[in-house]
Amino acid sequence: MDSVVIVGSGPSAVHFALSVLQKGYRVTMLDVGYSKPPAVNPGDNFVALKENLADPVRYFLGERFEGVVLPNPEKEFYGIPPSKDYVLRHPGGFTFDARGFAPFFSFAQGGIAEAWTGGCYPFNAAEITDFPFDYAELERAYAEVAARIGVIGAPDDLARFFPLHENLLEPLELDVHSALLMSEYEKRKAWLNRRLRCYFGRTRIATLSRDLGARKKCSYLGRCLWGCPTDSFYTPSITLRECLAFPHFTYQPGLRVTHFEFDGAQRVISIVAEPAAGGAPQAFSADRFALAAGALNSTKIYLESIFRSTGERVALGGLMDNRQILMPFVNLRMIGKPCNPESYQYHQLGMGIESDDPRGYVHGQITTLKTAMLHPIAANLPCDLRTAAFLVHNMHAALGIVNVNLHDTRRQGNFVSLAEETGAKDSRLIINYAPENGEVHRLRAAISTVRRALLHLGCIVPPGMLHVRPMGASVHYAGTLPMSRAKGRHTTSETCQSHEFPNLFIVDGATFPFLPAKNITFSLMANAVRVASRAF
Amino acid sequence: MMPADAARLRRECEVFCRYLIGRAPGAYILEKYCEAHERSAEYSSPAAFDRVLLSFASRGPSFARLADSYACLFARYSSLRRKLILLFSILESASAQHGFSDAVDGSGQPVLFVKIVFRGVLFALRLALACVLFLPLRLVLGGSPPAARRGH
Ligand SMILES: Cc1cc2nc3c(=O)[nH]c(=O)nc-3n(C[C@H](O)[C@H](O)[C@H](O)COP(=O)(O)OP(=O)(O)OC[C@H]3O[C@@H](n4cnc5c(N)ncnc54)[C@H](O)[C@@H]3O)c2cc1C
Ligand code: SF4
Repeated sequence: MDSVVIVGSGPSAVHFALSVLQKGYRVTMLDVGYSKPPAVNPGDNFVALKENLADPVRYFLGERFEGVVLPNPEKEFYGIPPSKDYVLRHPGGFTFDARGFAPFFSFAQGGIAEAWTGGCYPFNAAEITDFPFDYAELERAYAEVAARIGVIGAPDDLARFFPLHENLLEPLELDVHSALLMSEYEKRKAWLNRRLRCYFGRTRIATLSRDLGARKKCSYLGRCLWGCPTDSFYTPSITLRECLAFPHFTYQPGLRVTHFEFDGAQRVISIVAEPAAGGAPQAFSADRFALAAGALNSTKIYLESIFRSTGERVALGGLMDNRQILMPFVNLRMIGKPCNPESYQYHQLGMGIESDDPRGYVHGQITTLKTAMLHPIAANLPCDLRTAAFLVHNMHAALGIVNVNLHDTRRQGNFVSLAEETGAKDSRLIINYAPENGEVHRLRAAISTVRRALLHLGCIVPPGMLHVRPMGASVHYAGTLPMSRAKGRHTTSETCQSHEFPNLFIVDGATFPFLPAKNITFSLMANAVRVASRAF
Repeated sequence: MMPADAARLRRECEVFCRYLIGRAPGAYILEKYCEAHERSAEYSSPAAFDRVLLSFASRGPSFARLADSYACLFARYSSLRRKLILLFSILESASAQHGFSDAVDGSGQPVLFVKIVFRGVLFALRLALACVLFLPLRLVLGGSPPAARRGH
């Protein structure tokens, strides 16, 4: 039985692992693996939770009140809630410097997608023209992942941007605000489609509208943001549990991989990991190795390995991420309406803006606010807090936010490298990013179109509330070790096999040669499944 | 925490609670407000103007509202503003019995719009008065520093 060592337990890693386990490989998964606390009061909905917990403030705001969002110059409205703090915890010894980029790193069991919002948008054929394989391969993998995790969606106007694939589940019930937006869209869609080239529809989300195995369908508890207590909402730790049922699978948490060692023929011999709590490094050998530690962490391991073996400090260009714009809005027709917290939390609607170049598509996710904390919004209103409290409570049901995503391309100036320091046990990661010339025009055009489209649906974007997020905030990292038909240095094959190290596979976003304006994770999982089926 | 500090925080919480929700805080809210001050340094400020604004606001709910009308636009990072936002977040995280009630104004949209405009006018008047009071003071004492980056 051939053996594989996989680094990481995020969405890329667990779907790759499950596929190779099903093919009979012996798999060892190395992970730092901070794990989530047990779910509290699993049967309670959002309101009952506040009533029944002995100390609800501690649950919602955290032990150190870190969930309080004080006014900040970055105007971020929401962070990761305290119940998911573990997702962004860093082990000792890991350091980085970033310029023009605000990166997130996860060392959690399940990766950063333990705190994701579940958006699953397949790329289309036009968007993968730089990828060295056919769309049909990816389509099969999308269907496989959808069957594993459960993805809801509908064959509506947005299918022109994200293709339909097999195994889609029917959507959840819309909350009142989202339903109103959709009915307004139906009335005005001729104008919106023709004049703004703007389309609305249901998002694709990794949530269950039907029971799937032991997982129960969504019961509208409204707790998605703090962690779905019933696993209706998908997170990668669910797939990790499936992997653990295989007798030839070993999961080794508590280990931070620093580098791999290779021989004169460039074959990787072992992967070296340090106990996250301190202690002597351990080496793990296998026939093949897969880096799936998230694009930035995999790149770090790759660079560190070359540096430790040859003394060369390589800089890998082409880092990508989606620029995101947060556009809060008020739906005038919903003002004064009661808010129903017993509904699905995250975005249920999406919008797409077509462009002459299909790769220039602009993507938006529309979240209507139901149970999210109101103090970050109240604090940003230009009035005293008592007046703000009156406004946000009466407008709660009318509030929404569009998260607009723009595409990104590989540019050599956006690189990841290691710091030139002496004496450090483990090198500091350096990240350098600058937006492309002309980004500001794309931003302005997208903002103007979204604003006009919302206005047509009866919604206004209050002045001063719009926020262009820093690069790095979307956590859709890609591009540093791209798949390429040509065997260039530090590139990978169509099966994500390193052109440098023949028994090394890189199965996360690092290998993507282009980043459409779509949340990447569904494609990460599908690509990992595709690689396992083609190369293993 | 010194007993004198605890007593001051409890008084402050009581005033701010009356300002925000029109009633005195229960024991749970008081406890959480004090605990937040113990666990985080975010809510204190060495700036002289901040201290003046805070002690003015602590005199009573109407004083708090006047000071906040100024702070919401011209002292957004002041300790007064941070304390009020902290209390807001505590009230919205607690059950309806302790914190905000989630009920909306039931008078219908047209009346609600009139109420919003009326509150807007009142706010503008309070702001004008607050500017007369606090702008000269701020010029003399200086402003409050922007808060450090928070959240993720
Ligand atoms: C708030 C939020 C919402 C999001 N919503 C969406 C969404 O709706 N749709 C979407 O598509 N994407 C979303 N994302 C992005 C998504 O979470 C990431 O794209 C995805 O998690 C990346 O998966 P990955 O497996 O490549 O890496 P990661 O999730 O980063 O996982 C990395 C794994 O590797 C392990 N690891 C890292 N370094 C080492 C090391 N040195 N040694 C050992 N183990 C290591 C970690 O412990 C972890 O298990 C969201 C992200 C955030 C923060
Ligand atoms: S509403 Fe959210 S938290 Fe509740 S069951 Fe559905 S997915 Fe889970």
